[in-house]
Formats: sequence, C-alpha cells, structure tokens
Amino acid sequence: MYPYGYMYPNEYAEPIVWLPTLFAYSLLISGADLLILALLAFLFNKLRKAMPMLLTLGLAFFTVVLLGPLADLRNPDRATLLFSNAQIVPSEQHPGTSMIALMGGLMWPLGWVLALLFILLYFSYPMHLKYLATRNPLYKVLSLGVSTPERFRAIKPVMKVVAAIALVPLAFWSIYPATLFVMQTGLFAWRNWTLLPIMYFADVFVTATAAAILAAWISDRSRLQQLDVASLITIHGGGAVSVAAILVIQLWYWKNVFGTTDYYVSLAPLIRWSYVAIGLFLLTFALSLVSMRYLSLSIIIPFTGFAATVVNKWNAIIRAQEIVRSGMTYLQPTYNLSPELMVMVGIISAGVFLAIVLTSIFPLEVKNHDY
Amino acid sequence: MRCTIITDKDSPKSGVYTSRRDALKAGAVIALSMVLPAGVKAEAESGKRWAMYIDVSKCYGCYACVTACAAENNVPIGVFRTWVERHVIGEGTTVFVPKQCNHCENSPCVAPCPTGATYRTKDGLVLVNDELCIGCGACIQACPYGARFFNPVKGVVDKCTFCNHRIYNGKLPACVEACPTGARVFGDLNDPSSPIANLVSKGSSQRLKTWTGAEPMIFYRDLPSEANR
Repeated sequence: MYPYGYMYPNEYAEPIVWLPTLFAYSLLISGADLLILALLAFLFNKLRKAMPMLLTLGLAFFTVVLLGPLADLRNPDRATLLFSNAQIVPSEQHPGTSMIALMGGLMWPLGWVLALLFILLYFSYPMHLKYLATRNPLYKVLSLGVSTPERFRAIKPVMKVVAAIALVPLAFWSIYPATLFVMQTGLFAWRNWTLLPIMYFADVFVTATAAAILAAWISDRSRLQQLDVASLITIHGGGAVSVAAILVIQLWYWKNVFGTTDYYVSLAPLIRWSYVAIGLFLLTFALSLVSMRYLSLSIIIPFTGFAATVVNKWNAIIRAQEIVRSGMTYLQPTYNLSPELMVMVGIISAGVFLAIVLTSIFPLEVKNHDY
Repeated sequence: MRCTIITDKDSPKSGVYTSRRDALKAGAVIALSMVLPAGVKAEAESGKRWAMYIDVSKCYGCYACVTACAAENNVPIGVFRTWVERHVIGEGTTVFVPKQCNHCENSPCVAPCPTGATYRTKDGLVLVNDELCIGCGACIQACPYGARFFNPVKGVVDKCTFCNHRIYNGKLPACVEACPTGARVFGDLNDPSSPIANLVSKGSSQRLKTWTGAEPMIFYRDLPSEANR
C-alpha cells in the first residue's frame, strides 16, 4: 500500500539510493579537508607545529575518499569508466557536465597529485635529516635531493604556488557532494536546501579540526600546546557556531517559504533532527570556549563535534532522500544497516591505516620551520 | 547494437566478394554498425522529434499500457517504465494519469551521468547505454519524474525508451498499441501532418513540472494539478 501523497512507484521501490556515502563523505571528505586547513595555514604562516599532522592525516583520508562512492556503485567493476569516460566536456549527445565526473574524474586526481607534491616538498629536508639519522634509502629518495637548509628555503616559493593551486580542487571537494545534491538532483529537500554547500564548507572546519585534535591526543597528550591544539580549538568552535547559524537560517527560510503547507509537513522529521544537530554544534562551541582555558577538556570536543556532524549529515543525506520528490510525504523505509556499517567502518579503517603508515614515514614534528 | 549480416544470398557472388573494394566497403559497414548504437544510425537520416500526447480524459485505468510495456521490455515486477496514477479530485472524481520518461528536451538526467551512459539521440530520445552504466544512481536522483530505476535483472539503470526497437521499424510503442481508448498518441512532432503535431499545435496541452525547465516531450490533455507535483 503506497502512503498518501505518493506518486512515483519507482521511488517507492528504492527510496534510498545513496547510503554508504554518509560516512564516506561526512568523515572522509572532512578528513581530507585537513589539507585545506594545512595549505591555508601554510600560506598565512599559521599552525606551524600542527602542520605535519594535518598534512599526513589529510592525505591519508583524501587518498581513500573515493572508496565511499565506490561502495555505492551497482557495478563497481566498471568504476574505471569514471576516469576513462568522464562526462566533463559537454557534447550534443551529452549536454552538460557531470558533477560526479568533474569531482571524481578530474578534481580528485588533480587535488591528490598537487597535495602529494606539496607534502613531498614540505617534508623534503626533514626526510633528509631522517635519512642522516637512519640511513634508510627510502628517506633519501623522499628528500628529493633537498639536502641543505638553503635548498629548502629556495623551494619555499614553489611550495606556496603549489599550495595556492591545490586549494582550488580541494575547495571544490570541500562542498561536495552538497553541490551535487543541490544542482543535479530532483529530490525535493535537496533542491530546496539552498544553504547546503555553505553548510558543508563551514563543516569542513569542524570535522577536520576534530580529527586533528583527536590525533594530537592520540599521538602525544603531553605536547598539546606544542601541537597548536589551542588554535585548532578556536577554529573548531568557530566552525561549530557557523554551522549552527547556517542551519537556523535554513530552517527560518523553509518556514517562510513553505509555511503550513504539505511541503513543510514533509520536512518535519528533517527539521526536528536539525534542532538536535544545532544543539550539538552549540554544545561543541561552548565546550571549545571552555577548552581554550582548560586544555585538558579538549578531548571531549572531537566527540561532540563528530556527533554533531554525523547527525547533521545523516539528516542531509539520508533523511532528505526519504522525503519524496513530489514533496508531499515522508517515507520511513526499512533498511538493513549492519552490512552498510561494515562497509563504512571498512572505508574509515582504510583511511586510518594509511594515516598510520604515513605518520610512520613522515615526521609528526618538524623543527626549525624557517630554515 | 545493430549488426549487418551478409549472407550468401546477399553477397554478390555466393559469399565471395567481387573485388577488394567491395570487401572493404562491407567491412566498413559492419564495423560502423557495431560501433554506433542502433538509435544513432536510424536517427541520423530521420530528423524526427518523437513525442507523446496523453488524453487523461480518455484513460480509465485499465493498466493495459503498463502490462504491455512490462511484457515488451521485460520490466521486472515492482519497478515501472510506465505507470498509471490514480487521483481523486474535486468532489470525488477519479482521474487516471499515465506517466513515464518524458524524453525531455533539456533532460536533467543526462548531465549528471558521469560516464555518458545516458545520452540524447538526435531524434530526442533519452536512452541508456547498458555497457557504460556504472550504477551510480545520479540519473535516478536527477529525474524529477521518478521515471528511472535500477533494473535488478539487468543490473543497470532502466527507463522508457519509447520502444526505440519498434518505432524505427514502423511500429508504435507497446503502450500506445495496447491502449484500448486511444488515450496515448505517439508520433513525430517535426512532421506537421502527424496527428500528434496537430494535437500539440492546438495549444491546449500541458506538460509536467515545467518549472524544472526540463521541457518534457509528453503532452497531456486535462491534466489535473494534483498530478503535477
């Protein structure tokens, strides 16, 4: 029996098309956004002590980021077509540019190569020092021949250029898949979620800094000051209050546009959970303020930050799909989440594993930053 | 894929080509026919604009079109290339509205396809190349009409093709042929003498969700606003 207000039987047959993307995008992309934070900090000469950690974690998560959408493909064996047949240049048969192809087939490889190049340059001289200490030939290769402080200083302008260019594809990624949802879908909630890309961008700074703060605690809790955790907390709190504010504006907008219509009623579950997300973001903001004074409390922030992000993105990705495209009703489909959770945990684990590998190669502490 | 098969009867000398040039020509024809999708070849010389006109007042909800479509195109149970909505309007009047892919002029489903599996032919058909579909679901999410679905048997995205395997052979789409009241009219909009061109040119037809800018190629008569959401 179709519910009242239901018009499209194919939508009823499969209401949730994209599911594993929840964790893939909310955590991996935000993890990858550590790279944005690191590159911005490099360009403005901030967060020097946290830089190695931000870069290695960011590269690790950005490397595995496409595993999320890969898990959603019905024909993952054809995934390479995304690169070989990327629908980026419009033609008569395929007018328009595919957001998925643009991000997966162009921006991801571009951003990844540029980020890797920057990281190799950034760690070049430190790797030479590591080579001198260990005589491991791998470190000599990774030093790229930068064996003196003078040479390291000489490549700094190159690093700045690479950082500035890399920010372009990474910035595109920071608001993805919100851009896809808003621009290239016909679902009611997404088409009317005007501030979704902006919210995703603000969320970058919440999740990325949460990951960085957590990593700082795991790596060495006695050196929180040295790892610029106080600065990270400031950004984290600012990001949290921004996302909360954007959500409030969006809810106000919906109320004004849809009033007491059926459309607004169908949005009700989404709105209800938005209030929970707002509460969690505000709690994160308040805890950030307290943690700036009492640094030892900062261990709580990543968890409230992650919780806020997960609730918010579950809302934006999953609940939004449950509102039918006619905007007349809200479905509550039953789906078996346990296999999906395994996929999500697997993807996150791949990122964490790669982060461990990278942090064992690249030093988490780079001394004398101004060689 | 349409493949030209040269039989003994067709070949100039019982399977032996008369000259090297003939053999090369035949080879080129075979190669081209294997590379180009069938629709692309047929439309190249046609210059048609396929469209459908549905008179809602003539539909009484027999579902013959739904059944004919499923039988013709092996549509699995639970998903639909075409379906019939039942709306109760006003003071209890029941209206049946057949729906399907609108083969839009500005198809919202084509651009999001990352591999180009979804494409437009010159005749305006919006089709799916099964060989290129990676099953990302972007086109399903993009279609404002809910016309696309994952075909659990084929393993790729599926939708109405306007029965392109029939129309280029002089037949009507299965749903049109099966309709007992003639509620569905199919034809070439570019042909001024065609019944559909006459019906559409009268100017009283409506289209679904025009606010999306999709410019659907299915025209309705007596479409209730309840069915247009």
